Amino acid sequence: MKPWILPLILASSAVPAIVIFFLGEKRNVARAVLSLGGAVLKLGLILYMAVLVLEDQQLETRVPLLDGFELVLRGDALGFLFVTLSTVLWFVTTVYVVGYFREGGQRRRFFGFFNLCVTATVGIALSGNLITFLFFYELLTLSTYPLVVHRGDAESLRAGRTYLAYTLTGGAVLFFAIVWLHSLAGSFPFTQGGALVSGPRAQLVAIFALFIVGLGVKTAIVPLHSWLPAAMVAPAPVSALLHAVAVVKAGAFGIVRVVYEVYGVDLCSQLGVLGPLAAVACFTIAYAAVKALAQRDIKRLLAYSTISQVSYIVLGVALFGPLGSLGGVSHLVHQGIMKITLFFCAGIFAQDLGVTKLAQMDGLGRRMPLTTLAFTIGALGMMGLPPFAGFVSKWYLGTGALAAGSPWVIPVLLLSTGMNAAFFFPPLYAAWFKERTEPWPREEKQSARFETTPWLLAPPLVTAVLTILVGLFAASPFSVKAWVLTIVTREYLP
Amino acid sequence: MMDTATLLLPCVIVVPVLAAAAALAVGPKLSPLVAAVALAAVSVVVGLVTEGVLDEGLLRHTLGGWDAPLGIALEVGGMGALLLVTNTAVMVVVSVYALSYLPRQHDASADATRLFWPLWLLLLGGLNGLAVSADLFNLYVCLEVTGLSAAALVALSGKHALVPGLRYVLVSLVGSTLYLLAVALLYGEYGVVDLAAIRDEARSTTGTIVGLGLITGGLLLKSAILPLHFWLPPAHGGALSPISAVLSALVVKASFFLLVRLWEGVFHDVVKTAALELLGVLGVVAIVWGSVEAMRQRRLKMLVAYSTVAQLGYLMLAFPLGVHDVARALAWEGAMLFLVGHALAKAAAFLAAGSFQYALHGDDLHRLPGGAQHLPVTTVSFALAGVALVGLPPSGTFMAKWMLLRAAITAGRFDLAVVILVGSLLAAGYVFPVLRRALCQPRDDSRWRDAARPSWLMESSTLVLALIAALLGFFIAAPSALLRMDLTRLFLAGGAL
Repeated sequence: MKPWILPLILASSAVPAIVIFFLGEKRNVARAVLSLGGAVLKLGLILYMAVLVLEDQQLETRVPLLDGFELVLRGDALGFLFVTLSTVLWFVTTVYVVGYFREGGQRRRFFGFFNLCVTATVGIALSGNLITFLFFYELLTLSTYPLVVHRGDAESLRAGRTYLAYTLTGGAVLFFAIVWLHSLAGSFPFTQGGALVSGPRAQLVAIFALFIVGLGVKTAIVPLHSWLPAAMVAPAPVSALLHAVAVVKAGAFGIVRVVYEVYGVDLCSQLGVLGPLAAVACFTIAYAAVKALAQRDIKRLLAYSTISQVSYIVLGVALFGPLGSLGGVSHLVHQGIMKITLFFCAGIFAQDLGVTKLAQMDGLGRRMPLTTLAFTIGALGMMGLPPFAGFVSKWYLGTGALAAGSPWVIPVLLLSTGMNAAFFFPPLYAAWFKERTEPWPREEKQSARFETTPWLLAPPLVTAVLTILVGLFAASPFSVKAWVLTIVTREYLP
Repeated sequence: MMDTATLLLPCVIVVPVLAAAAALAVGPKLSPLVAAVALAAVSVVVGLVTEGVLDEGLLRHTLGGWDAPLGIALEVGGMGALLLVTNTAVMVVVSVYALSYLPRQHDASADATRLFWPLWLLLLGGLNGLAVSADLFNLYVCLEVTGLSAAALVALSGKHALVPGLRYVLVSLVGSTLYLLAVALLYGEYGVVDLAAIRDEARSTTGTIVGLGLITGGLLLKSAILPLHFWLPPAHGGALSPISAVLSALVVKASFFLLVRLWEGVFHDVVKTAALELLGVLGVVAIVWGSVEAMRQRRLKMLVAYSTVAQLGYLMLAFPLGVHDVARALAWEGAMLFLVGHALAKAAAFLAAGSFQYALHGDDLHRLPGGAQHLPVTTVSFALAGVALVGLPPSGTFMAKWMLLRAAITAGRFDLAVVILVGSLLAAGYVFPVLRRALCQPRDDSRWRDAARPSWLMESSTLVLALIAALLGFFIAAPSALLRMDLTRLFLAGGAL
């Protein structure tokens, strides 16, 4: 079982994807069963993998293609964190997707590429070296494009073109960085504490910059972020996916890998690249938060909020010291859970009531109490209030900044918290405390028992509960925080 | 005493040529059968030859036991073997497509059914000859056979293809004439036509320089390297799709391979760096200009044809990269892998375009919306071919670009490295709009109601080729091994390629 577990984890979504492409358009049940079945299987395999990783067993699969060029899959602590996040959130998104497409529209294509997408994300998480990472990174671009343009209208196609232009260029820059590094240092796997020991300074700095640009496109670092608000035209499950799990996290995860396991945090500090990286991250956090304030469309607001929040991860990585890293890497999980909740809710508001703008949110709390509650929890988590998940990561980022001797980060964090409150508070107030004066923009006939179908309602409730639990139990040994602590300790004291 | 592989080597030329005659004799009904048998036989021989090359490194067959300078010798190393395999593989799959496609063509000339298979087989014989011939004059004969049969195939494609076909004939003849003049000059200079013998004597005299210049002009013309590419888009865009596939995939590559043998193998010590840099510049311009032109096309087949012009530019980049000894082997390995990868991808792209053209009674891009829904297999095939054309992993062209990039960085040629990457993005610029249109909803479904359905043979042969192109990266070890054998022999031991 052991040598096969990693490819099997990939196959649990790749095989359903291929089968779904061959099934007829009308086979809804078969499609749903395959997707959900694959997701459950993947969850089971991840649990098994957890046991093995805790026992510190080496899980590795190698596929040599050429001399000095091989594909490596590896199950290590950091990869496990990302793969678990991906798998759990994928499972809930699959449930959500089943409920979202009630009739019509190319479901075969959607489910097929959806599953291919999760294969790519899991592949990124399990990559053991830069080459394998690149393979899955480009597969992610290719498999998300049909999802972004799914609706097939002019706006979607335009957004898709922007998306491709940005992500393919980012991929090319990343390709360049990897080949250049290979010319300098040969091929090597991701190594805790950093694989590079030393090298010509100017070149290493240049390559690092290229890595950040190449990965930064998917991470939506300003000014490489424009594709993300444009991609909001995609169906809600796609936005939930892109923003919570797949694309942005893949980019951020890549930056974590490069700083920790390619260069190593010591070398980065010596090269002096951490300071500029932190500055770029802070600028993104601030700029995107300001832009979010100006948004009127719910999903675009969430998009800018994502751009701002994902840079917390980059900031955490750029702060030299275990506390900052703890904050940054744990935010990878926390932001994922919170943001997906928000997008799920936004999708329900749009699908069932036609509510897409902030101004239309009056009285939502009364009409859809559970959904609005989930939305509220997500929003409060974004603001960084205890006991929600977001608070934990912000706390460690703050203390990490102080420990690293970069106290200027604290005002940025506070400002960001303030701005998050500023743009989330008005819609929350309107939803709970304002009376509805006009009819809903487009009301669908609903089942009498729940505010919307259980398929759509369950996922945001589950992730909202997770947001609370992850925050509350942060101190426990099974929490995300404890897991990240293991990763970070292994990085600083290899 | 020669072993089986060496003994059978001439069969890769002789069997197709004889089969061509046989196909003409038996008439249109039975000629596909003759072709099938011939292709099967050639495949077996090519397999044996490749195995032989992997064992021994170089196979040399002297016809009738008469060696150079009087006799004709055939020689094949790793690169030649790889070319043979590519020729055979692409020919076989495209032949399957053609079998189903041709009876459905009503615009083709009346002679098409009678002459297609004979010309097709003759073309294969010529292509294989270019891969294994070891002397200048034999190469001339093979160049002519290849060029004329290719041009005739273009002309067969119908009235609209007559002018491009005629232009192709003229271009082919001009190219061959230049080549023949050069052969005369070089023979006058060295007294032999055998490549290995010339290499041993090569020196930088006026005769050699002029001769090499003439040959290069002729070969650049035949390979459609910018600025001598003008004949290609109309010819490849106008011919029947299986013919376009083989033209873009194999024919232009065969003359390019000859160029490589002469510049890097025979005359390597004679050529000046400036000339190599010039070839590189032609490549850069081809990549940029060809891609831009492809983006402007309104017909799918013309788009794919301009893509060929652009992608051939990558092959030219190996010349300036090869100037630096540290990067030379890597650059040429990359270029040759690119040659193979591109051949597969381009053939698949043309076949897919042919299926679209057949279904929609025209290949205008604006007819494509709805394509993903109604012709999913063909759309997927084009998408996979597109992945290989852009050079995304795990395609063979990705691996080739990896090597070219490494060569560029090792040689310090960051300018060429940027060109390689920009070229990929430009390719995406013309591939993805096609897919975007196919994914769109059509304004009205009437076009699709009247559409013809490509046969499953057409769709599956396209898909097979596209899958190989897109997944070649996983199987790159064998082609790489073949190439490395030749490169070691060439660059370290001074062999003749």
